[in-house]
Amino acid sequence: MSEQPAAISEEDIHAYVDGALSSERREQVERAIELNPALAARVSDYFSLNNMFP
Amino acid sequence: MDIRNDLMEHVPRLRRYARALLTNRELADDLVQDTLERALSRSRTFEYGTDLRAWLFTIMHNVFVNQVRKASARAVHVSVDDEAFGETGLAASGGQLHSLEVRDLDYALQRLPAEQREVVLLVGLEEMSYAEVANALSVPIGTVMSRLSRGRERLRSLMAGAQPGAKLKVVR
Repeated sequence: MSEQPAAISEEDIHAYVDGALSSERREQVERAIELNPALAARVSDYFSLNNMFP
Repeated sequence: MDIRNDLMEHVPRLRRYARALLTNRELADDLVQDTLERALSRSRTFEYGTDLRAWLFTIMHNVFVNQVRKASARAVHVSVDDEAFGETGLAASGGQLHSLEVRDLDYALQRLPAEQREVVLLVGLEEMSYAEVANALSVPIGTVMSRLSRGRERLRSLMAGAQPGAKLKVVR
């Protein structure tokens, strides 16, 4: 398994949820999410939080 | 030129934000009122062609910070120890928030430090860009990001019913 995903920071995760990333970075975050179920659950919660605002 | 009419257009948004920031409706409406009064008294400092909404949110932030400072000088309240809340102390496993309701969000929001609550709301409710938030709060964008990240993660833990690593303490 040589394809190590790019390092993703906390800031990247939040910027991803807020749609504030470049398309290249967004794809890197999406790859990281696919490989990491815990991260995926967290991101899903952040989206839920954002959607709770009116 | 009078900005009074332009100000009025922004009142509903200011009110919505204030009511999320302070669940006490009276205090929230006072915050809006004080913000509008200050804006009117300083309307000459507003530069036409610049973003009125950003200017108003900056004023509201300053009024809010003053209120919090005054309130914390006299009130007894519960605060969450910021330092004790490292990333490792978070126990929420994730994917649990879909069944929660908006009133849980209100409850959890009030348990965030004011500076994190502001950022979470400006981004989530007002849908401001990080740069706009940095501008409104007069802090660097990195500070916006770290408050957002800590605030959201704490909200998530609170709403998932997890025991956060923070200690609740009564502050006099």
